[in-house]
Amino acid sequence: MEPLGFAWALAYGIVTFSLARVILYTAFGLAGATRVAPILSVMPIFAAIFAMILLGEKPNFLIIMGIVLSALGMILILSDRNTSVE
Amino acid sequence: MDRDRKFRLGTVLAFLSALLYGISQIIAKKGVTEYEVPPVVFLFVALFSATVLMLMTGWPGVKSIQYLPRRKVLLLTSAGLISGLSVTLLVSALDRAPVVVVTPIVALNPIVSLTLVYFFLRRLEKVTKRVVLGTGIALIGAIFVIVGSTGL
Repeated sequence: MEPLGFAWALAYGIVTFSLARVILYTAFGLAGATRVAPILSVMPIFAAIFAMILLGEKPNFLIIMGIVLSALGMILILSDRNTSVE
Repeated sequence: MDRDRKFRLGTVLAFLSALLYGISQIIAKKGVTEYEVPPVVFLFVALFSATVLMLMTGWPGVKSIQYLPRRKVLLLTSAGLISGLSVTLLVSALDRAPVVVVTPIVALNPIVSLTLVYFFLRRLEKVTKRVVLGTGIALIGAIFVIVGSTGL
């Protein structure tokens, strides 16, 4: 395995486990799973944007529509503030 | 910190986490396709990162595990094993399919989370109709992406 390949694997470990996961668990503690878990569904939007920029992948009309629908679902979830039990 | 502020900060952090997870898909894709890193290497690196994180968060916290009830330790161990398995499966998926196909499927996880919240965290959190509807729309969006990517 190339050293650069290992560097990519290391970057993956740092980004997902040492950053994203800690931030995610903090978010769970602050806002609750009902609100935080659905927010993770915006991940494809970020992934698609970066895939277009860095990997040159080209999303078609259906993919763009799907991303827009995911965003709409997200807006609906975010507009609900009544998720925690008093 | 008041409830509203905690809620807002939690939401911002959730978005930041989603952004980082999105970036991680690209990193994994680059690693497995351009440099042919085997998916199992990602699992070991994830294990290494988790160990570093554990030490960073403080040894006293790690030591406190011995005072936890055995049932809770088993629950946490199961979570770790499932998480490790998910990393291997995710990287294997990225090795075989484009990022724009894999990530929407991975994004279906809120449905699993909300179902589990409904059954196990009902005393702490409410799964409202709006949350269910929003998740349903997001799911339809993910199906669109899958159909658009595979031409089914």
